[in-house]
Amino acid sequence: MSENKLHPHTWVDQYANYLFNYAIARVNDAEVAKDLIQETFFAGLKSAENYMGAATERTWLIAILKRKIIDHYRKINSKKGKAEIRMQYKANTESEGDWLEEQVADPFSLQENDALENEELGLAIQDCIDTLPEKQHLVFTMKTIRGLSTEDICNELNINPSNLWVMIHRARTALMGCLNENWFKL
Amino acid sequence: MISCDEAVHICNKSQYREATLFEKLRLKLHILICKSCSVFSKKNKKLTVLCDKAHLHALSESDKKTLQKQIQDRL
Repeated sequence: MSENKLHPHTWVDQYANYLFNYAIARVNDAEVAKDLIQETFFAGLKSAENYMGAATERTWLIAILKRKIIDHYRKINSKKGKAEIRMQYKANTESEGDWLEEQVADPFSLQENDALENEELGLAIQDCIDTLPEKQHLVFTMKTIRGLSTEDICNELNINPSNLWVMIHRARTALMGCLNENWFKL
Repeated sequence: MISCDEAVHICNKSQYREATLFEKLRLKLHILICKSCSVFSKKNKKLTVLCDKAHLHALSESDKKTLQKQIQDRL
């Protein structure tokens, strides 16, 4: 009845990087994030028949990933055994004796929103990258995100540098347009 | 004087710090007289700044392949 169907063989290509960015923003560790998406995909396969098609594939996978992240934090918390509270009033520095009030966060600072906003920005960019044609997607990711050198990419993909720059140019132009639509118009 | 195509190419290269000083100089000169390249250059720089700010991560191809294989095995 519904239009949404699962295509597990395309999951890695379509969603792996998006989920990876989503997870890494929450667990702050690449290895843990990698394990979490692996578990997410496996759980997705296992409960594939429960998928009703009410949400898109990605939303559904994100929902699973969220549970996995919660499970991860539960696990590391139970390993510790007990909660621990430590309070340090900078006892060992020269600020000893200063008023605690001087150390509270600056209420006018906008910096604490930065991390949040950057995460949203990251997901918006990843969204746009995922709409690129496969080859451009690959080259742009290798060059910009993984920071590989032109030479390495050319060797790995068997293309020449001018080829690479053409693809980079097309990818960048497409991304500028996409971000203009999806990020700046919010 | 360089053409717009060349200017765009240098502009893209300089986003990855791969343009030489001489190239950058020629790009600057071109931008002075070419409105559309100046706009492109500004947008391109903005994209670089955004990508840096977002701290994007990506799985390596080998990681993706192992993941893909693991899924394939369970299908």
